[in-house]
Amino acid sequence: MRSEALDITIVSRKGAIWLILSGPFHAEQVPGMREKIAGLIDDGTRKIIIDLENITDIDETVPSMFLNLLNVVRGKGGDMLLVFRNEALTKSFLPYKSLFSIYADEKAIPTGGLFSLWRKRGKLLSRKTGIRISRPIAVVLLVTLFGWILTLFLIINMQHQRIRQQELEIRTTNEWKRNATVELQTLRERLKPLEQLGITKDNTPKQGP
Amino acid sequence: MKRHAIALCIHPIKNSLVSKGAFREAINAFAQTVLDIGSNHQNIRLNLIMPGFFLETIDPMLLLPLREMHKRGAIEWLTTGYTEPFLSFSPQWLIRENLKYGVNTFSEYVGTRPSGFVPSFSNWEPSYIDTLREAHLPYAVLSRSLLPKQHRNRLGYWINEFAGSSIVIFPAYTIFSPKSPAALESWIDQQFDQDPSPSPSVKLLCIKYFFQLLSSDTAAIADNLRETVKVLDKFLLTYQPVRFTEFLASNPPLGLQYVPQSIVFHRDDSETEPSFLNSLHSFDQVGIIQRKMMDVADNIASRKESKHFEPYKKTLFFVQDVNRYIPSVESGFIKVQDRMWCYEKLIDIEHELRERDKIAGGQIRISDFLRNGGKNIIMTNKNVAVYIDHKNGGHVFELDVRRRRCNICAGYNPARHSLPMIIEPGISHTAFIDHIVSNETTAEDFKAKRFLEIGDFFSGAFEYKIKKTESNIKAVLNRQGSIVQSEKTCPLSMEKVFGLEKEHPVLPFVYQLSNHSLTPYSFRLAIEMTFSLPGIADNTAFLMHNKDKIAGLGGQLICLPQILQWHIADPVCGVRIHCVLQKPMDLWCFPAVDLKEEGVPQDGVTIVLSSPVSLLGSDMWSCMGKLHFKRMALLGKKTDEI
Repeated sequence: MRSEALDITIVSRKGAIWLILSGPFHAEQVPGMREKIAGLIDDGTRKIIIDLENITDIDETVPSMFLNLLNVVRGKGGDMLLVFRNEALTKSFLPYKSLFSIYADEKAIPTGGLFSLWRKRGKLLSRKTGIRISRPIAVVLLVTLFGWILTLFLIINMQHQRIRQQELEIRTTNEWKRNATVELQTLRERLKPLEQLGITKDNTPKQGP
Repeated sequence: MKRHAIALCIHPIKNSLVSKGAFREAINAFAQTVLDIGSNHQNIRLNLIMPGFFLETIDPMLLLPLREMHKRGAIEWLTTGYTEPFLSFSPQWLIRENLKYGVNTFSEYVGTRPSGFVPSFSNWEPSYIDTLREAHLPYAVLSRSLLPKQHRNRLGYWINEFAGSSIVIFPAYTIFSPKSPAALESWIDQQFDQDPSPSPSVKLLCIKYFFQLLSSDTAAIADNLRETVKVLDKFLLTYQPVRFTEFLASNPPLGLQYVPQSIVFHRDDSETEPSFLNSLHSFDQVGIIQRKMMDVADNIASRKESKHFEPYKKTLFFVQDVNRYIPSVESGFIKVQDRMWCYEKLIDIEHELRERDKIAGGQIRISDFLRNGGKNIIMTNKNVAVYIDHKNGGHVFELDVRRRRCNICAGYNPARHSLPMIIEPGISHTAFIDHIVSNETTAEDFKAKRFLEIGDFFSGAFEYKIKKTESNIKAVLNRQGSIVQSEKTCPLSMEKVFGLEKEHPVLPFVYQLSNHSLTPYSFRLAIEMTFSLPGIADNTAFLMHNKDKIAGLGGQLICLPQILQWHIADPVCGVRIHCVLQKPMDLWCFPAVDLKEEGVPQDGVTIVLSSPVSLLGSDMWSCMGKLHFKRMALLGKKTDEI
């Protein structure tokens, strides 16, 4: 049956719903496919990626159906991406090229970067823990947390500088002590002959054994 | 006067699944027998047929003298491929790979490529001639039963041509090892006398000798082979023992011979079955295993980085082995261990591919899985796979418990379909078959199949809708059907929903019946499910309700009225199915196959969940439930080595 010639696989990957289609895409399949994708959008899916690489034949009404669905999903704050590089599809989608986000393969699809990852992680954690906070509260908490961390760093830095200064003082004192010891030794050496002659007497107390 | 020739092909056969140790012992004993023959009869030439994986198992110390025998021209190697592939059942690329892998195994283990090809069960497909030529296999040995009757007595070889490609075929007489002809000498003379060809040409009698590897009396089988070779040795001055290539080099063919697609169902049968594919597909399970194999093969073929998938291909070579499909005493799809083994290997590959694709949550596929022109809905997650045929009653024809790598809807059904359909509603043993019957229908009526169907839901086509959220998947089947009430046909609509939640091993289901007319209806809804439980044979499978354990499922009718939950468990496959219902229903449980049918294995039970339904005008009735698939400790050892 021509209305059932298309194979469909629906799968979740990296936070998006992938529709992988293969086989010939005839006009008879357009209503059924529209219904299936609209059903997914109604179920709350906002990021849909449609892999058309294995489509062997495409009817001219298919791109306009995808255009309608793109409007629907964008109207609900979502997005629909198309993945293909085969010649027949490229020709068919040429007039709509600027309207669709078309990628050659899965690797070419932008992942959304660090912020997107944070947002996704945050949503996931919120869903798991059930804790939700408003944006101003989140900003206040963030600023407070940042202030705490900054203060902590400042205290650590001050302590660090003080330790450095004390180290320098100890080093200077040690240096002075070494010089004084050497000088004292020299003076003692000079006084030794005079002591032996009995000209002068060492009155400094002797250190015990 | 020229001496006529005799080509003796020895084909060691291993039909059944056995442990590796037992197989190693058997194949080594066979190799030793061949070596003994080689040393005792220096002038005898043998044509040795083997699948590649046999060579991997033979002791290297025995392989070495076999290599020497080949070097001095006493042996010619022939192959069936890496395994014994079912040519008519497998995708062409997989056969090509199987042959390539088999030829490479020969090069690695015996230092030479095999000279010819021997399709197991003489399963000949003329479209494979090019494939054989690509694999450098210049001739094939087939049963003479494949030739037209008037040409069967001619001794020699033929050229088989198909679509511009040709190949040499040697028609062979078959001898099965235990019943080797006592009077072999006179039999050989008789065969040469029966050949109507003019006498000046050299005739070739090709004898294919089946050597049963796994038998209770292997010593007698080996002695039988030795005796046969002794007879040929005695005939040395009259008939020359030859290798096939030797004969090909110096003798012309008998002529052209067109051999269509064919098979010899029993290895030593004298007749072929022309419509063997129709015959096989009139059974339940064989087609589903084949479709699953093709589905997995297509999946692997579509992958670009093929080197990662080589181990999976090797597993598929074993799954496409003809012995798993052709019914025989020791093996075939009618054996529960063979079916379960195939499903286990295929589910394992599917699981690995899913892991590789990093698929999270459930997946829905709508594809022509059964390859019968319609679409099937396949819902999978990490632990469960549900295959729904929405065109034929919206029933579940395969239910894989992936954690245990088994399909619990794989029971054998001796009833044959009227058409070679993979699934036939009303005959096939599947799950979630919806019968609408009169309120008086009892469990005995169901068991004896005496009930009268008053609805059209068990075989009717359902419309479907699929739903997918990030983690859950659902298939909603809907049919605007009819039932007979007071001899009038009245409208009734049924909606049934199957779903999978995240990666949980749970299959929730919902039934909703709506009466859109003003007439009140009264009937009984009976949901039939057939589960395959290998533990029934040794009475280890049991049904449990509350704390009552009911064993002996293979021989009795069990009726549990108005229950909310039950579970059925089989330690042989290690699965426990726990069913929880929202509304109390009657449970009837009886053997899937009638005990009256002699020789039919008992490996399945049919469970019917039934409930009386009363619908007033514009009324609705619904029922929810779920099947939870839990693991349990496996009982006994698995003989899953091929």
